[in-house]
Amino acid sequence: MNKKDNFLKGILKENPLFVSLLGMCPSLAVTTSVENALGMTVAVVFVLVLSNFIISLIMSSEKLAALVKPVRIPVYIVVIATLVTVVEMLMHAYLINLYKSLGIFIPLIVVNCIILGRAEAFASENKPVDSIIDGLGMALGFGVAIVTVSIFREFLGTGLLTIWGNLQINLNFIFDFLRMSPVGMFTQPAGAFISLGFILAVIAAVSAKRQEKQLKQAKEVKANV
Amino acid sequence: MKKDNGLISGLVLLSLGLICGLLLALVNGLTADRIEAEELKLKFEAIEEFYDIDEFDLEEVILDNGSIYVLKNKSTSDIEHLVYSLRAKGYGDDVEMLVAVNDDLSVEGYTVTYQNESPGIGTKIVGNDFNYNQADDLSSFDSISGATVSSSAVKAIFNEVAGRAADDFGGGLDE
Repeated sequence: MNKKDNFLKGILKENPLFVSLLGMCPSLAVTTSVENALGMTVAVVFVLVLSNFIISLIMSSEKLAALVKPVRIPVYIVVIATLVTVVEMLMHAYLINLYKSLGIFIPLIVVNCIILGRAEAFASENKPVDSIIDGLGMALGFGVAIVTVSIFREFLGTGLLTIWGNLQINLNFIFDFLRMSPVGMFTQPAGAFISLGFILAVIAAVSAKRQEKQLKQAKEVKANV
Repeated sequence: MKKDNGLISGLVLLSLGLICGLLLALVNGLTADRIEAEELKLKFEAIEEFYDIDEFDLEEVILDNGSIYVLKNKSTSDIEHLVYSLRAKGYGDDVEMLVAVNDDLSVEGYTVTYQNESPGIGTKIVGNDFNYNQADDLSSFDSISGATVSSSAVKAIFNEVAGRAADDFGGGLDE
C-alpha cells in the first residue's frame, strides 16, 4: 500500500466511526457542537499520531520488540495514557473553555478503541513513518465523522453552528423559512443516536447503490466478452 | 530450552513508566501555574457577573469544601458582600457553585461553575432559577423535577450558605 492510500483509507474506506463503528462513546457524547467535535479531533490527532509513532519505534527494534511482546498491552496503555494526560494538561492550561466543555471525554481517550486498535493492528507491525501516516489518516477520518455528526445535531437542535469560541454561524433563518423551531432533542443523547443512525443509513444506502452499479457493469463486461 | 525473559520485560515496562512519569512531571511543571491562573481567572469572571471586583478589597477564606471570597469596602474594611464557592456531591461528580450574598443577607445571584451531570437532565441546574432570594431562607426553594440528585447538590450548597452567612457577616470569618 502506498503512502497516499495508507492516509486515505482512514478517512474513507476504513473510516473508524462510519465503517468500523469504533469510538462510539465520545462520538455520541461530544457532538453537541462543532467546536467540541473539532477540539476532540485535535486531541485525538495528537494522541493517535504520537502513540502510533512511539509504539512503532519501540517495535521496530527486534531485540526490544521481543522483550516488549509479552507486556505489549500494558506498554501501549502507558504510552497512550501519558499522551492523553499531556493533552489534558495542555488543554486545561491553554484552552480552558474547551477543556471544561469536553470534560470527562478527554481522559477517556485512553480507552478509545481506535487508538489501542491502531497500535496493535498497524503500528506494532509497520515502520514509524507509515504508522504516523496511518495515525493521521485514522484521526482525521474520526474527526471528519464526528464533525459531520455534530453539524447535523447542532444545526437541527439549535439552528446554530459554533465553530470556535464566539465564531458562530446562525442558520435559524432556515427554520424561520420553514416556519418551525429547532428540535432541541437533537442536542440530547437520544438525538445523538438518531443522528448517527440516520447518517449510517445514508452511507449504507449510497454504498449499496454503488456496489449494485459495479455489479451491473461487471455483468455487462462479462456479457460482451 | 526457551529463555524466559519475563523479568526483563517487566523491567522494560518499569523503565517506560519512569520515562513517562518524568515527561508528565515536566509538562505538569510547565502548565501548573497557568492552569491555576486560568481557573482563578474563570472564577473572578464569574464573580464579576455579580460585583465589580475593582471596587473592593478581595480576600479568600479557604474552607473544607470550597472557599469564600470576601469583598470589603476599600475605605472602611467592612464586609459588604460574600461570594461562596462551594462544592457538593452531584450525580456524575461534585457540583460547584458561586453564591453571592449581600450584607443584608439578600442573595445577589448564583451560578454553577462546575458540573458533570447527565446531559439534558442534571445539566438543567445550569442557569436555572431555584427561587433562592434570601440567604437564610430556603422555604421557597424550587427543585428541578427529574433531576433529584443534582437539585439536592444545589440545595446542599444553599443550605451551607444559609447556615453560615449571618455568622460570617457578623465576624465569624475573623475567628
